[in-house]
Amino acid sequence: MGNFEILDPKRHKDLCVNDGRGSQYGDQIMYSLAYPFEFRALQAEYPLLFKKSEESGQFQAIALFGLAPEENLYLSDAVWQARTLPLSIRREPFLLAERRIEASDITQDFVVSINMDHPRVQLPGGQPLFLADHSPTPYLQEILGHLRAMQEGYQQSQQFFTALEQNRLITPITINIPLQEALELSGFYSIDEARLSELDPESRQTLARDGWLESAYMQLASLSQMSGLIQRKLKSTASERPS
Amino acid sequence: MSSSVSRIVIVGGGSAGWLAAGVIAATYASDKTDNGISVTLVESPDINTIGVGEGTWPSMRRTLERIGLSETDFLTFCDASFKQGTEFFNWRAADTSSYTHPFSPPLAYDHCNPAPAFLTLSDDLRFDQTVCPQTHLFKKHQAPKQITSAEYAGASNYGYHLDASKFAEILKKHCISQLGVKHVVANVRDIVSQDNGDIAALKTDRTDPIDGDLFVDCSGARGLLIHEHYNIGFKALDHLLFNNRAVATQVPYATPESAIASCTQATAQENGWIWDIGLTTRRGVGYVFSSHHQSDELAIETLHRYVQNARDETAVGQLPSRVISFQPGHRSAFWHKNCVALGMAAGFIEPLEASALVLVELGAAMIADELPPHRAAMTRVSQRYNERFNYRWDRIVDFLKLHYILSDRAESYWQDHRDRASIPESLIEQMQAWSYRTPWHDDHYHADEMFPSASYQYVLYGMKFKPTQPTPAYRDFQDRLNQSFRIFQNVAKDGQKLEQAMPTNRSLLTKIGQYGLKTI
Repeated sequence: MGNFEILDPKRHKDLCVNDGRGSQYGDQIMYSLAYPFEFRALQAEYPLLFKKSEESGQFQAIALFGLAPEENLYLSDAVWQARTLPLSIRREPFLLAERRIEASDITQDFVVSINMDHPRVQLPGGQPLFLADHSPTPYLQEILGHLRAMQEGYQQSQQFFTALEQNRLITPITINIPLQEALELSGFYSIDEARLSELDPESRQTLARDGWLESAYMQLASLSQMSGLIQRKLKSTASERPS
Repeated sequence: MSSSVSRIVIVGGGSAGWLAAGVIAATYASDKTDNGISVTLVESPDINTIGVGEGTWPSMRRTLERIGLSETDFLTFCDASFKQGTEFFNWRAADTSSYTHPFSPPLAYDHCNPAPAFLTLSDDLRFDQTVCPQTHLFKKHQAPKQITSAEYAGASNYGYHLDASKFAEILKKHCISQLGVKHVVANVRDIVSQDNGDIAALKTDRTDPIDGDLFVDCSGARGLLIHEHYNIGFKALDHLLFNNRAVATQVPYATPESAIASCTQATAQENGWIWDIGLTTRRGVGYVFSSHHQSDELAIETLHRYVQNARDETAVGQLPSRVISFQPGHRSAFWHKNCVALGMAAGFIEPLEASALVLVELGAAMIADELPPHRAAMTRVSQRYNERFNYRWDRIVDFLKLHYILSDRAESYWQDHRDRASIPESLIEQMQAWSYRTPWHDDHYHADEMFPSASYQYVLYGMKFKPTQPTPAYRDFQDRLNQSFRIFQNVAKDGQKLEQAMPTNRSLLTKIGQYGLKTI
């Protein structure tokens, strides 16, 4: 949810947005959307999984930060301990929204919106969005770049998952976490490694040509980050325990 | 003549015929391979199919999955909705009484019998709501699953409400295009017999004779093969279950967003009961009654009154209604020689508890699973089939009759239902047992049970049945009660979780139309 306003140089000329990291800025989240073109960079830091959108039931890729709702094990005070962040995190609190044009079926008109209720807006201080001549600041320009990239990522995702579903390459996975209190994450999906390796040459070639084979292997490779995430969890529970 | 059984010929293209074709053809490789099986369906161009029941059991999920139909395609094509049970109104004299028979068993039913503990509680409590979390979904018309659920999977158990003619149509398309079923449109004119009395071939008015090794009669109440050719006896059941007529109509929704009920609603009337089934596009409503007790005119009047008073809908004008008459009962044998009858050709009884389609599913599954490879093995299979389905019919009759004998309604129709002469002996015996103890898993030892003991509990205690004799003094009685009370608390918690998580039927079905469900 949120209270979104269409970004306007006049209306928002004095508005500042905090670009720091920390739980006070809404970074305390378990996962965030990831797009196939990000997989190569993200797999070096996070487990990448698939999850169905609760709105549409369609598959989406996500980068996993924690093992429980509102848990981000990469966050330590004001530092996000990773070399790279998903675009869907970096663009906060902005959104590219579809604008419905009255009396027209064409809805491919996108406007930049900002969530005025987001803590990055609500908390004092931060980066200005516009210069005196109403042109965007370098900070906002960077954000606009992220939003455009996400728009492409959204379309890329749809093609990626269509290809995976056609080849029945998605499988549900249950992640068992060997903590003191055994934890089980469900509702997540992954590439079906066995099926991927048995894929007929023709389908495989098509997937390779479209770039999806690389994305598939990147997702599989990212699963090795799971142990790192569990280490972080063990460390955080150890530090919480009174000595 | 070959004695192998490899050519299956189905007569009749209603939902029974196409379900049978789908199940058999999905089970075996086609005749283009060695030992393959061919499935041919002959359908008359002149006979309209009659939609037998628009409610299914949860078993339909497995059947459709077995056939290989996508749940998304099925739901959207058939205007189908989710059915999570039956909700009974006014089956007792108190005119505000209601209870449900949900598809999910009571919580922890595999190891804990909830009934003894329930019977110690206040009379105001409802059995279904005390023992079954699923019932929490009914009030706000919520769905048994979410848009993120896989096809055929659900958080609660469910079957479907469907448009029966569209159902036959989508099965037909799937059978022909995906499963290699041969479709012949012709009228059967004559039957060619073998020396041993088996059917050798069907002669039609517009094709070469259709040879076959096994013939499945899905020709409807007419029973083209089982009755007209073999003249197999009919076991009438109208002395036990009197309903033999129905008036049916379709009711539009007030708005496209109107709620779709989670259960079939069954409202008792003076001389029968009215079904009310919510599809996505309309409701199907009908009054099934006994012609010995009331005229068609009065039945139509009752139905129209019901439609105008029905919950939350704007009044509708006079709706066209059609009268269907049927003779309740079934063949004394279903499989004779190399012919087996399914659907209305096998038998029909009033739609209470929607037993029509499930019997087709069970019959088709048994034909497919136990298809004898050669003629010599068929006689034994047919004997087993007949034993099994006679048993199933008896259990259906008992369970349906139970709904009536527990009523205290005063009309003569209801009194006649409670006349001892109209109650099967097997049910009287059961009722004697239940006068001092509650139904439990071992009551029926048969592998082919139609209704689990939980269903009997839902009806007995939904109808406020009380044991008439003292409970035996079980040594661990108090421990059992305490265990049940803990489970009842979990029912409330689980029910609330379901309420919070599940969308309404309407919103989920709209989303499925828009996005579809995934297969995983």
